[in-house]
Amino acid sequence: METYKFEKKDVLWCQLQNWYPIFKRFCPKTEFFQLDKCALNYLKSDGSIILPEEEATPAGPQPDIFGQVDSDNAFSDWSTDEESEFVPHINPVPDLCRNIRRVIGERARKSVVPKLNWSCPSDALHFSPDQSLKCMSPNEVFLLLKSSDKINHDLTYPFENCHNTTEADESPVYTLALQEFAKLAPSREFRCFIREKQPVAICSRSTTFSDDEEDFFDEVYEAILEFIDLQIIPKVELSSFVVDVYKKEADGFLIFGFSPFGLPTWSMYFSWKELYDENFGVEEPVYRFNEGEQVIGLSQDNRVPLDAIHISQGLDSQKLVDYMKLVKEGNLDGEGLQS
Amino acid sequence: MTLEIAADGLAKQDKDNLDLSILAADTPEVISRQATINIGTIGHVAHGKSTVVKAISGQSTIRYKKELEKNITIKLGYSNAKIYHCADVPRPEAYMSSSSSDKDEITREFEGKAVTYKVHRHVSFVDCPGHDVLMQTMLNGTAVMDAAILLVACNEPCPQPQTKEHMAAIELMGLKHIIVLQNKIDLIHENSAKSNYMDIRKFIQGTPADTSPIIPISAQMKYNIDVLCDYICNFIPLPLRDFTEQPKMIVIRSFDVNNPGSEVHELKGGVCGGSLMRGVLVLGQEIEIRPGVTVRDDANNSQVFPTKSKIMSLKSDKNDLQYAVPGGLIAVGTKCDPFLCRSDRMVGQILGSPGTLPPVFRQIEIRTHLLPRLLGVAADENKKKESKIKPLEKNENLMLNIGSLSCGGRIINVKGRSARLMLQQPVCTSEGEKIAISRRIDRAWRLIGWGDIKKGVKSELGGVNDEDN
Repeated sequence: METYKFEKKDVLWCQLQNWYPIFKRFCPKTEFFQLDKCALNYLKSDGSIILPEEEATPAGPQPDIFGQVDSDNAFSDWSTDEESEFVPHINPVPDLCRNIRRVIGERARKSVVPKLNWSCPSDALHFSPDQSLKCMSPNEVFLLLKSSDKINHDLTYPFENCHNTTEADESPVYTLALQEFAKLAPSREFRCFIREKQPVAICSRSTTFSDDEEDFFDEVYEAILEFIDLQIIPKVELSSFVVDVYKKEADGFLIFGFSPFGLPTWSMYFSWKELYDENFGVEEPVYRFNEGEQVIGLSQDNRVPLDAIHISQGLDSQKLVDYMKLVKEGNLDGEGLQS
Repeated sequence: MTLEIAADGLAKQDKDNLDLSILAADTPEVISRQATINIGTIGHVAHGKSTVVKAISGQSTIRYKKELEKNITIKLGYSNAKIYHCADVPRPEAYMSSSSSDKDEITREFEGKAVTYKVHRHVSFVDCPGHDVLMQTMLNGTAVMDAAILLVACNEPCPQPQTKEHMAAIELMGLKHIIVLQNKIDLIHENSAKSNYMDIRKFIQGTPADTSPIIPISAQMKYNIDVLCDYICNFIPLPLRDFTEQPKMIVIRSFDVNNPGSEVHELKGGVCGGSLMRGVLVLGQEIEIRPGVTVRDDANNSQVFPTKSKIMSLKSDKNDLQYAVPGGLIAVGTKCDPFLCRSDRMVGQILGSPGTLPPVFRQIEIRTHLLPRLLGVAADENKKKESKIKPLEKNENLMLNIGSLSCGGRIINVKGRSARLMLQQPVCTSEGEKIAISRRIDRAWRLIGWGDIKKGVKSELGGVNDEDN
């Protein structure tokens, strides 16, 4: 098995701000903001997530909405305590907030989709009020970014698995992209694998089973290949890469993003071993989609605590032992824990 | 009483003459079509877990495209099997198993005579760990499994490190009825098998499997599968369920079954897959899914619309149902706008009869139980300090796991062990439910504690989001 070694330059090429000018006509309207040190520090900071703009939260006790207050929880004296602990909130990224607010105001749907150099926070949809990437305020943008493992990966290990690590370790120029929000159907999205300037594999980006997906694919197959051959391959400097395209309801396509050909890019319905095989998909690109049998896509990652994943997959027996101890000591229900 | 047979060869179910008070986990019309007992299969992949399930259910977990029916089948590590009994044959040959869609009576030859086996149990094997069932148990303390099969391979010393972990998982899930399988006995000599058996006996002493049967089998050679079937029927008690309760299903997958190019008049409804926690769902009945759909206007005001719809189809595996009871995984075809169900948008939502579901909360007040430190680092003295969990902080954003749902929550106020949270999404839950709380630490969401919901601020529910509008 020959592995296609991608290099740092491949990863750099795949940055949204790099390829956007080339493929602008296939992209939603996008504005870019280079992140300064303050913004980067804020995005990278660990621990409790406090959003930049102070929320208008009701202060003090609200017996009106919570109903009768129990005697054992001292809600009634909250306001006094609070004043003594009061720390004024300082927005760490005021300029960026202003810019985000301006772009949101200018858009027809008063919303944007945030992206970093490579990724969008699609693994943090459970932090969105309507399970979408649609953001209507700077705080919503920052909550999605800070809650996402994908964004975190962009910020911390952008050159993971690159094969020329000897190069001077300069960090990329981080840029926040704000794209126009559009309601999209996942079953129209396709991930295409291009090896040595040749499309070898295509799969649906949809992770749930769709009855007639095969028929739909038969309809659009030729169009996808033509789009890749005519519009994409000649304009991309890389010989092997992965591209996500979207077949619009009307004619034409959108391009969602480029990724290096190899891990950590998600190979979805294929394995990288297959894709590296020089005979795979040479005669004709291989197509796959969810046939209702696979459990692909409904990843628990980032939706449950890492500890639960470690325990359920048997990756960290110490965690299980710890947990069992807590259960056995009755700590989960009792008063024994930190109070 | 003889059962009426429907066109598909299975017992006819009559939803119009359904008496919930006499239904049980072994009612013939029910187990003809649907599993009613959930058995967790726990063991290392290399110990032949999938071979065992295949040997009992007659199904291969990997099926190829050509064999695939154009049907709504959902498989999430669940495999169903029918277990049959024949009173005219001595044990263990009196028991056998077949696939979930096989007929209720199977005639076989036994010692030169034709004998008839009748379906006795219908079980669903739930592959775990690594499954959302375990997650739910761990995070919210809900158990979906009635029993477990623990698999050990006898060509390796017992216990293997994973076997210890698996036993701990069984303990975690609070499972009491455990069958231990000593697999791969075709690979070793009788004496080694016996000494391995004694090692297993020793290992299970003092564990929840203390009094469990240990069955030597060969899943590959299909040896002693009848003994296993015998134990499934006689060792695992029939779960007692109250079918008269209001139905409640947690959606664990949702999808639409339409071609992306479909014309509006061709649209079929969205499908929700999940396991019924209690009660019975009936074909044609009106249902509600909560919270439903959240709509935000351009001024960022959001409103919650519970989805009201009707059950258009019910399926368990390949079998069509007139009514569904708790057990296994069921697929509920609705009249909902398929767009709502696309790509698992409904995951974590609750499906049931209109007006019977728990309230939808926007804010909750919880009593917290924070862990003293992060899990898994207790042994490391150097890290003890940094892994200590700080108290909850006002305005911080946390991740909450409530049932199968995960959502963000912001602390509005905190005082002692009480905290008030603004939920990022409306959540359908009840006072008294347990939630898991995680904080972003070391670039990942880490469990920092639990909370009990004390009270909540209910969300105004918008007008009916009806399928016909």
